[in-house]
Amino acid sequence: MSVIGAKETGVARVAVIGGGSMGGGIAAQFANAGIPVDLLDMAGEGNRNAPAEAGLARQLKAGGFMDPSAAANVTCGNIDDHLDRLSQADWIVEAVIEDLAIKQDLFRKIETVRKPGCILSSNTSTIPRADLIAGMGERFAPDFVITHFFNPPRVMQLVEIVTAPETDPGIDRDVHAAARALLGKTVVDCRDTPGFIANRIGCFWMAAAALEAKRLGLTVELADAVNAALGIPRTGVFGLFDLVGIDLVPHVWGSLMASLPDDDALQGFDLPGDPTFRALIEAGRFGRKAGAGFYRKAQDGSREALDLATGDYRPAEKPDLPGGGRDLKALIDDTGPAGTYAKALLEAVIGYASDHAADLADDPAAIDTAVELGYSWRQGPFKLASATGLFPQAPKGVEAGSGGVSTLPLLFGNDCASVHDMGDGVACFRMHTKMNSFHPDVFEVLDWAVTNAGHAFDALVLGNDDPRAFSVGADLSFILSMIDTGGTTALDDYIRRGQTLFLALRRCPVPVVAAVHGFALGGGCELSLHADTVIAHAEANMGLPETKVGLIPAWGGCTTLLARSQARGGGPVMEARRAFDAILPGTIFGSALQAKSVGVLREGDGIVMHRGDLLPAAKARALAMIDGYTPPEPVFLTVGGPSAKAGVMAALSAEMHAGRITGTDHMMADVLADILTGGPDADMTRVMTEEEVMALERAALVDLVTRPTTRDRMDHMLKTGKPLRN
Amino acid sequence: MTDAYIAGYVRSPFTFARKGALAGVRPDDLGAHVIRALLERTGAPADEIEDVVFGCAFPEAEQGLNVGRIVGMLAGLPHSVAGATINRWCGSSIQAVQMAAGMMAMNAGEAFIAGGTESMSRVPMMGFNNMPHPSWTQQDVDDYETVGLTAERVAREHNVSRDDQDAFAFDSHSKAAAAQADGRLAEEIAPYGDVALDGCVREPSKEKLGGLKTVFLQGGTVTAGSSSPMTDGATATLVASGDFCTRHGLTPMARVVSFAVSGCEPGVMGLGPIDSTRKALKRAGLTIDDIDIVEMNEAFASQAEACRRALEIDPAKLNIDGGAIALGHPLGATGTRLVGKAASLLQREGKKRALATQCIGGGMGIAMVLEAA
Repeated sequence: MSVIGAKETGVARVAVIGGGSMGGGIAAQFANAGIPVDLLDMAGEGNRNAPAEAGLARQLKAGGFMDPSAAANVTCGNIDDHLDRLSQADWIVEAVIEDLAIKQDLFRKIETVRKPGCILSSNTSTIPRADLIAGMGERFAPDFVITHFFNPPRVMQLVEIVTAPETDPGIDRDVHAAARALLGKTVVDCRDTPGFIANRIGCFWMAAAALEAKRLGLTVELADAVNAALGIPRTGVFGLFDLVGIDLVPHVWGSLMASLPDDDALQGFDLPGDPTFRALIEAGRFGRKAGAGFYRKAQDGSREALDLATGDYRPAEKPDLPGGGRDLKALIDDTGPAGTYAKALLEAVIGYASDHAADLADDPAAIDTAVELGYSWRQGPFKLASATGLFPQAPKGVEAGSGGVSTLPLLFGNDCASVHDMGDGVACFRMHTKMNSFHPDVFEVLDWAVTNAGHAFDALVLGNDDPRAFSVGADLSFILSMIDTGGTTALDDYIRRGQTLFLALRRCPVPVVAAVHGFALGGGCELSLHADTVIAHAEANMGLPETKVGLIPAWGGCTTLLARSQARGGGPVMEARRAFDAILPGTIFGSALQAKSVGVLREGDGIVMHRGDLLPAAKARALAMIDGYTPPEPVFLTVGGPSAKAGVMAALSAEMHAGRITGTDHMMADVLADILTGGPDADMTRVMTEEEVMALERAALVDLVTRPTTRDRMDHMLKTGKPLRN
Repeated sequence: MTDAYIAGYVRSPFTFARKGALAGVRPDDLGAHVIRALLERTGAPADEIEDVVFGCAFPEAEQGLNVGRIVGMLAGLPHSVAGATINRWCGSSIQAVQMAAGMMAMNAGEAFIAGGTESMSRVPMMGFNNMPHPSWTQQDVDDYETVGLTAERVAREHNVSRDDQDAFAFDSHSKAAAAQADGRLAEEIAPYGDVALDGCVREPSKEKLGGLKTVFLQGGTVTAGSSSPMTDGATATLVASGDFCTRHGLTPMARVVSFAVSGCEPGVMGLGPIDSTRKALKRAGLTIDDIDIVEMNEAFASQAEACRRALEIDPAKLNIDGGAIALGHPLGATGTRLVGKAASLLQREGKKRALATQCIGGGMGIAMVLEAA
């Protein structure tokens, strides 16, 4: 399964120097994209690769890898023994300690081995590019850029890139392309100024937010509630200090202030000199890692907050905000402490961003993007200015998300789903129900798509713009209400309709490409299983969690995974076992790589690292498939019948005796094993059609919903959002 | 009738399945390796070997295709030397020795390589396509296949408590760790590349053993510490006639005196050694008191202790260099280790008679009595 656009970046092998949380995380993200990485650190004593190996181990533990298997792409080493490996790298990322002399010393070593055209970048967050290249020679500067990542590198979507007019155009192009296609990052181009954009604005905001709250006499809870209401991170500001560590204040804010001119507005918010911060640091109250900061947990488990006036802790309060915290205008118009604070803070932050926009970037929209992606603001300062009407002289915020599938010409649609024209003969089937679940009206649109395939369009993409879900499948409460009003006959009809349409989709005369992102669960996952191919966002969460609510996949999920397993071979039990193991635990996979390991994705499917590249990549794949396309032939399944079922079930009893599965799990396993081995009348000397195995799925599902254990699981999931272990 | 002698014994290191140093080695390569080592050490002429008789509990995939023939070919034996695979699950390679001895008794050859190989890393226990008879009840399947549950049943029915099992396991680990430290295991091991030591042997801790959770039954007594681990390994013995030994200047270690197999209820398969040992002793005209050395497989501490009590085996004679709980149990290769070890201990300890015995899944026992040559 290849990462789309990877080859075009020109970056086929990477070296990362520095195995800390940033270096290790960047190495892991390259590895997630299938790129071989040398991770080098200083030589250790004894095992000379120990520091880099520790960095790799930390990433495995912290979830830096999308699948543990990706760690195999990382080769650990040390800078003394393995410097020569850098000669193979197309991109060398320096992520060592923030010390100019150490970095330049390392650069001099790298220069002795680096191949021509190799990108050399520093992950510095504080040292200007001009200082880093000073005295490094003519060959160095054109190939050297700053790539400032955010922690953790797998999760944080932002990378700030600092180039200069002297930057080699090829290096400039490749580093931008690779940051997006390989690492999935949104690039913000920054000028070479202290703290670049996100930290410059973000640190200013944190300082202003904390000190304005003190000045205006707000409690930490109220200040945090106001910040949360403004869409500045959910933690609020004091909560964020607790999260990142208050002990960082002297270093981070101190060094930023030192590098800024005396008339910079940040100098007016002297966080390192503030008595409250100093007292907390002196008392070792660094925040969450120390068990106390602006908040702490009392002995009885309740939450306490720091009283900014007295420095003592008291029970935390839940403040009421004007407009319930959901009405920005009501908050701004409020004349009490919350509104006064909100207004003062916004004016300070928007003003600061406006004053410096032209120094920080060519494009003012970069400010919003950097702060949104680097500091998790719902909207950046200029969008906030537009939304609140404050500071009218600020640059206009540009609304993101415009130009998605929903804005494309409509070919057919209803309230639940639509088919849009993506151009070039490619159509997009888009669901738009809540979390894109399968309301029966969705089928009407799917039916239109299947019927008109080859007439109205030449290729079909399944996808949407929803930020959270490709599709979460059937809606549980809808299934329950269907049974309550129409009995199992209604459910049987609904399932049958889905099976018929999904099979028709697979066999329709045009190529079908699923563009999977976010949650693709249950029926949503099954929809993608019926596509000719899938392009998946690397962070997609696919899975067949039906067993968690006492059901089994019945829109061809069992049948398709069995067919895929049979294509790999291994005999009737082993083939059934693979599908069984993928379905029975009801796992929701944490990444596309994990989904692939169980056959939910296939070798020929594609991965995009950047969510924004998903639909264009799916369209491109669909277009490429049009010429000479023939639909897949019907699949015949060789199943093992009762003998194979006995084999699949043999180990399950042991699991139950050992207390690892429940009686209901065992019953579900029995039902699933029955389907995957073809039912009681099957035998390995006869083949079955997909329709026959899908009929078993349907019958099993309709039977399962009548069982009290299933009802209990469904009710519990609807009530608590968590699976019941009955 | 021609007597059969154990005239050589060698094995690979035994290492943990999947995480051990031999997990990446094909079982047929491991089998070939011990055959080459056996011939090198004994100096027996390969072209005079009648047959390679090799045990394997799950003879499929890399250990399928009649692996008994393949290991000989990979070892470079002349094509004239035949090869057969013997499957009696855990008892496969004691059975292999007996096949050789039996053929010799009916004048069907005078030198055999009897051994076994099993990669539990590369071929799962119960195989890739486990297909028990669909007419069996779940209980039948459990009894036949889920040996951990049979160990729990034996513990219950024969009053082998958690403490008894942990104590037994502690002894096994202690004996093996001491034997390894003293170099008493090295002689029988043919290092595979850099891998020279048994990988499962650890210095035990009573506290750790006592703190382990049960793995087979909620509220049960059998833990990973009181069970033999999943193991990769291969073993080989040279089984030859007295004439053959004399002709080629070989020193026989022990003579095969008697042999027996027996069956019992599958659900208490761990008790198999009781009847098979009694039969083998009777055939040899001996009692347990006549036996100086006992190599009894420790599939589980519960069954090994229950058998030890029923057969009244003196703990001082039992598995003196440690047993399978500590050394590992590569199913189809284990039997030859027991026979080879018993034969070599007769020599090392200067003793007269030895017993090798083990339990077998599906409800069987197997036993062989040896006498110092």
